[in-house]
Amino acid sequence: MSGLLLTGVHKRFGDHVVLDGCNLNVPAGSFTALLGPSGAGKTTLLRLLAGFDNPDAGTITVGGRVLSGPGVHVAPEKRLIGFVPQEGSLFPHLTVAANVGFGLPRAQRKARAQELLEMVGLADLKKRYPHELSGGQQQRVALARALAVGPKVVLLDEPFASLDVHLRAGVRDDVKRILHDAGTTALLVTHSQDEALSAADLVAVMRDGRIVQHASPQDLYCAPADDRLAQFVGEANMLDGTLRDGVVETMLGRLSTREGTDSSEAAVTVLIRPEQIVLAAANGTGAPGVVTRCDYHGHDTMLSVELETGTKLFARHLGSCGLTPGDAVSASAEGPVLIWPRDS
Amino acid sequence: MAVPPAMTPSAITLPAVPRARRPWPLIAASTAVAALLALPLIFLLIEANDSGITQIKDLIFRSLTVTLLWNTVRLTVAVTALCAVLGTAAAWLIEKTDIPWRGLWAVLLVIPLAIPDFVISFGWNSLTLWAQGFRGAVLVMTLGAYPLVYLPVAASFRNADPGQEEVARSLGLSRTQTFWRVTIRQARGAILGGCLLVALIMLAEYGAFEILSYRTLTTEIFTEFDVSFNVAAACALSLVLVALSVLLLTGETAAGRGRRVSRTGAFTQRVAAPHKLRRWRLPAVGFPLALVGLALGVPVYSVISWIVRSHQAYLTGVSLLDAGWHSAAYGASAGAIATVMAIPVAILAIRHRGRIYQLLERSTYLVLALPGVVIALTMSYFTEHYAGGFLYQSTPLLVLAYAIMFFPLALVGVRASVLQAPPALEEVGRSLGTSKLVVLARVTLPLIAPGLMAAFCLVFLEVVTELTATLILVPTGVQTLATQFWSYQQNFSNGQAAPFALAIIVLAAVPSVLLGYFFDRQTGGR
Repeated sequence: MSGLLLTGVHKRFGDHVVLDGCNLNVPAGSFTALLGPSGAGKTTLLRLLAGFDNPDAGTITVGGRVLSGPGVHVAPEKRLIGFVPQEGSLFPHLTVAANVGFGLPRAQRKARAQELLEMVGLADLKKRYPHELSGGQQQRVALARALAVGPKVVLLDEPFASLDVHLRAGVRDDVKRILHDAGTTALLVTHSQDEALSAADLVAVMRDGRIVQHASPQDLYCAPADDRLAQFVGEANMLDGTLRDGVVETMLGRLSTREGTDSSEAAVTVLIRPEQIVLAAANGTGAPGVVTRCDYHGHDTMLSVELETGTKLFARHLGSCGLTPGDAVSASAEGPVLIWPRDS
Repeated sequence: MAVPPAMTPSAITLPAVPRARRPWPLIAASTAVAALLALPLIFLLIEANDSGITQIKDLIFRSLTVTLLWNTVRLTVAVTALCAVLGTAAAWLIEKTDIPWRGLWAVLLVIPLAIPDFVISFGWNSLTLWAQGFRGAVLVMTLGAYPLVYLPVAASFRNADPGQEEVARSLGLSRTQTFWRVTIRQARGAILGGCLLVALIMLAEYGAFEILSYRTLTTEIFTEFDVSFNVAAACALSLVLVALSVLLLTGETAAGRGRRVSRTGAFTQRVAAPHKLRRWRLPAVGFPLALVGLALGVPVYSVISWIVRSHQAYLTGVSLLDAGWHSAAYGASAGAIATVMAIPVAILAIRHRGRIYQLLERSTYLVLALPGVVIALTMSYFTEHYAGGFLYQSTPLLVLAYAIMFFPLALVGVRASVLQAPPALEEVGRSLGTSKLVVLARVTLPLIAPGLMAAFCLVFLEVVTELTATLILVPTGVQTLATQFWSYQQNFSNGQAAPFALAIIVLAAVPSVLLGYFFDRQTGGR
């Protein structure tokens, strides 16, 4: 099978360490998103996988075959790793069909290009030149070109970043379907959480040159590995609490925890997602506060609440909630919540 | 599904940082080219050493040097400044405004590049005595050299991001302020690069100044070498010339430091709406009209009137064809060789960041400022000393001398197009399973082909109009258009010289129009 395995990959440019012991295991046939802020080392990782650069240390294997490692560097053209760069990077001097057929033996070019262009739904445009295509079409041609040679793994470097928002979802779904049909292992680099959470089977979050968590989108949101990750993926309220007898005491009341815990008493940091916050009319049970901001998104409403103690909370309410800035409320929360030991 | 957290960095011992892989084949090829181009300098040093340091010192520090230096410097400064102003103004009018007959001007403004400076000066000189000495030299050289600024600046204006000007206007800058603070800034690199070429060529010019009886370092070097056979004096003056051009190169590098060229996104290339000239639209035509008239019209008129007036009973048809054939063949071979030599140097300097690579590239520009006679004598010196005079006055040696002399011009063309061929495309090619060499043939070469064509044309054009090296190195019994023109002109047989001048103009006009087309195309395939 053609799973992708990175162990202990290091890369630095001059004094700047970009990848610092990066480990990643992408199962064969899966669609993994590599998510991280700008400068986290995502593009560098992709370039190492494609073979454009050499890692300083560590090993890269695909389907059990070592591509980069001590004393080993397989040339990019011998890796069978497809690459779809940010801007598509179609060859400007070739037609769409010639672009798609670029990596194939002469005899197969015409038929295979036709087949792939049909798959991406662009068979009518095969005689056009890249500058005659829209951004989304260029992106799909770039994907067809990468898939034409039958790669084991396809790397996509922020392929949707340069598309219009209303185009993005459509192209993304197309790409996902095409990759799934082809049974190809895919690694998608993105700095957009929405894209990572909605498009991929698995999300690997990258920070400071390492993978901090690699999990399904659900697990990533509900059980982030640490508090920084909790705040990076989705909105989060981080409160102080005290853990006692498996229940955590916070300013929003006593809440059950997600993990089974021992009976020892401990100071903890508590993650409460905005949808776990319950707002009631003033003077009810819960912590008193005032609504300071109200962002209506159609399907839900995001409220900012400032408690009397000065703490600020985000609360999400399905649909509209009838509250406006200045309204007094009582805030409480629903468990179970996630906790981490607090460093004192 | 969670993956174990990454190992701590201390758990892994890093090996010594492996250096980025060096592009050895490129380095080897570029070094060989740079070494070839260094030969004239080595020749000068050998000769200087043979003459004795003290003698060279005495020859450098004398009043004649000061006079010649002053003549050379004031001419170079005046011509370069004028070319910068005229070339930029013309480029702005043609590229950025709604001036009528834009396409026509774009072609006509480039053609003066095809007219040898000695033909322009011949044309002016035979019309009016006003064009003599410093005045004449400034006039003639400016008219011959401004296209070297016009071409790159026009290309840069067209490639510039129009959004920047729009933003400047929206931030409250007037049109004039925007021009000085944004438009000119965007073209700064192109203007500087063009000026550098003009200045270097000015240092090496011989024929025009000889006709206008203006003495510069180069005319004196030619006299010392060729007439007085005073090698030591010629050497000493050449070294002064080398020092001047090193100064120019460092100046240009320093002035260009920190320049950044930014483009619009790769998906779209927006075209700016041209400035409306309104009531100035027709008067504006006067500018390119005057420039083309003075640079192209005057010499062509003068040459044709000499032909008409001369009442030649016997026609020089056969020798004209023969000389034309030789000029074209030399030009084409030297163009091809210089272009091939420029490819590794340009790729190394642009694709592989490194001070030493850049220095290597810059060093090759030095040769442009050396007079043809120095190059020619270098070639004969080395063949005489290391090949037993084997190739002296042979076609291969002459072609090689041309390729060395005009290598920097080939480099300009190749450089421009290598910049246009993004490395990302080559990487994609390789990830599709094609090897480095196949990618070179199927991606890189097609992308830089227009630039190679431009490089070829520039060299061709200069070879056809070259005089001094040809006079020394041309095989016995062979005449080129330039040497034939020169020998008639020096015998005051203007009527007989004129057809050769016209033939040069016709022969060189073709590549110069192609050049205009290349720089016109550089906008990203419109």
